[in-house]
Amino acid sequence: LSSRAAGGKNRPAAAIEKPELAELFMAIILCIDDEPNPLQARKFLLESEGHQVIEAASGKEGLRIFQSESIDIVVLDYWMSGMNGLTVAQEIKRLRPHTPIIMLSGFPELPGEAVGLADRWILKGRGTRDLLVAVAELVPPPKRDGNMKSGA
Amino acid sequence: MIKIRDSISKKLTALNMLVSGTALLVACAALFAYDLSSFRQTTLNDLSIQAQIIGSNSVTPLVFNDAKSAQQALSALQASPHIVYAGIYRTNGQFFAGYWRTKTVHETPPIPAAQGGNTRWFREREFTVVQPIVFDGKLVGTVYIRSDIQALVDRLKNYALILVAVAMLALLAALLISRTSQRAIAKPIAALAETARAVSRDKNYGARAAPTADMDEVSVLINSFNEMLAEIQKRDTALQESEDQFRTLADSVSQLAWMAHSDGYLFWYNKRWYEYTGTTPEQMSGWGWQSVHDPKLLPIVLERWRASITAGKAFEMVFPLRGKDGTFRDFLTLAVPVRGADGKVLRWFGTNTDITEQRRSEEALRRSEKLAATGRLAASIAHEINNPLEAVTNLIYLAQKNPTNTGKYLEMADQELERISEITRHTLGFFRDTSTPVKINISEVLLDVLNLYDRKIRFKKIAVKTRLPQGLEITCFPGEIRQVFSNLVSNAVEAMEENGRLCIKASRTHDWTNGYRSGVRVSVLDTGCGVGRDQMPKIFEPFYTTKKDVGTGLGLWLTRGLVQKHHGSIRVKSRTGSLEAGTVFSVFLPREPLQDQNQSPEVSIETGKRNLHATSE
Repeated sequence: LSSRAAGGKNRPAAAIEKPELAELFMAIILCIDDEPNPLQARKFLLESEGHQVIEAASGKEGLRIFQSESIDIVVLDYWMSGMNGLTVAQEIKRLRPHTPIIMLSGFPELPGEAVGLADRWILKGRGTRDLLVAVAELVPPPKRDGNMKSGA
Repeated sequence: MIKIRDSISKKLTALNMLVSGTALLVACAALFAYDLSSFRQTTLNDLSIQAQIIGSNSVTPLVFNDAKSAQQALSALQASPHIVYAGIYRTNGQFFAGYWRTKTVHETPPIPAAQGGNTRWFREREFTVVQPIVFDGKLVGTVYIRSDIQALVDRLKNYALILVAVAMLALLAALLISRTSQRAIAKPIAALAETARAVSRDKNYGARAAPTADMDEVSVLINSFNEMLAEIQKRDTALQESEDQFRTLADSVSQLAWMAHSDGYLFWYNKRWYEYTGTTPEQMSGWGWQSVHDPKLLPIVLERWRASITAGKAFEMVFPLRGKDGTFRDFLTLAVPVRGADGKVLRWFGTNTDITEQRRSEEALRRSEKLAATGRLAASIAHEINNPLEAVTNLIYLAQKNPTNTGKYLEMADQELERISEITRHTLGFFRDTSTPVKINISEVLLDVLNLYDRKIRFKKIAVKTRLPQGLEITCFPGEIRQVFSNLVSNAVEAMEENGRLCIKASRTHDWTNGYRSGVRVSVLDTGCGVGRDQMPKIFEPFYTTKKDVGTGLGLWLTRGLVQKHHGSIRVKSRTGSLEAGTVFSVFLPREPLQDQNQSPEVSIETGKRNLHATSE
């Protein structure tokens, strides 16, 4: 765990510059947002980094997918109609506490009780790099029985 | 007060005297009758003896025909003053000799026939005796004596005198004895009567009748009377205490309080009233309270107070009252009728509660909420803009990274930028408020608001139906009216799941409550979850929310405040449950609300409150 955290700091830049390395850290990411266009743009962005992205248009749908699929990272919009991001995050942490959550918010201020739930908070707007860095930091280490290059 | 004409004492005495008198009278009458009878008999006996003596003395004269001797013998009768006439007759009834008391008249009456066989009788106020004179077994003549009743009369006179004297003495004695003896009965009763009179005259229930030593009915009466007085005194004390407590309470509450007769005549005010208004009871009595009212509002107050009195229904109104410093403060006035067992109004009990501070703090809260609402609006604008901005940023990053395939990314980015521009265009309307009311088209405002929520409506697949005719113009503060409908539409959208229906209608209409004001009515209907019966009364209260995570609970409160500011009214009907659940808010806005200045804002706000019918179905 410590090696992952230590390595994480330098990895994003390397990942962007060296696509072949990015594959080592490929993750299955669940993106939950009730806004169709930003959701799609986010999907394109993360896919361009080599991750596999599953879209969900509401908190409800997101939780259904989360329960049936193996998910590495959840990218969650805080402000959604119906079930909001806070509720979804609580449910995810209840189901699988170690799954990292990246919370996106359009508001400059964050509600206190939600802060502790997410592993990263990203303010929407000009947050492209922040999102990529967060994903890179939170990608789980390559599995031992997987690609040999993971040891390098 | 009843004047005692015949005291029991006098009555008892009279009764005693009557009884004694009657007894005496009967006794005297009996005595008198007996005496009369026996005297009559005695008189006749005497007369008979005298007749016999005369008869004996007349034998010789008769035999010797010596009338002179007979005359002499008869003259002895002079000793008996009552004998009117005595005569001696021969056997053939011929007059022989006679005696007359009156010397002038010398009749010779014939011998009267025997009265029923009797030879002596009392008749026509005369005693008469007819006595045969027998000598040697042979009838030789007859004596006839007549006497008047003067002796009897004299005797009776004496007798009556004695009887009267005795009776008087006896009655006097009876009176004295009665006087002494009746005191034992009459005196305690008289004392009781005097006590009763004193109690009823002086209202002194502390007075007590002196008890008697005897254990008779009078004693029971006195004791019962005293117990009754004690009970009355106890109740009096309790009543006084209760009254004192009420006065203390009424004087110590912070409200002004008063009481009125059933006809509306105010007869009592608490101390606070006098302290606040600086008036005196003399000035305030009856309808004097009008002097501390705002003359402009007084006709409305009087009209409604009279209507309450006529209908016997509780009175509720907010109006200003002038304090002793001359300034007016707003009071919420409540008056309830106090009814008797028969349901008739006995009196009115009223309070005036100073709500000036409450009004001020509500106004301050409303103002701060308006600021907060503005802040929230700014935050949600930031959110609304940040969303497409993020998409644009991501798409530009992608386009830079992969310059060969930029068309798709740029097209999406363009769409998102268009959204940003739309958001700014619409939301800026909220801030573009004027200091004076302007004429706006309500349909345009509603379309603007709908546009603002368009994305959310489309995302939730909500079907929107509108009936927004042109030409519905009202004069208002557009930003505030926009906020009113923005809140209502936002609530409607939030209340619905996917595939709901939102229906917005506007029409020209008249006020529900007083038909003369023309304006527009806007109804916002949703097929959301509905407002529960228990929530319904609270929805317009500040800080009431069912969406703790996103709402502050001030939206509808602010909405109502803004509607009231425009002299309009708002109503809500809602239905919960799976079938046909939903809510409809109806807002009435007058066409020219702000020219309606002859009504004071106090009354209008109050009127607005009355128009709020939060009914749940």
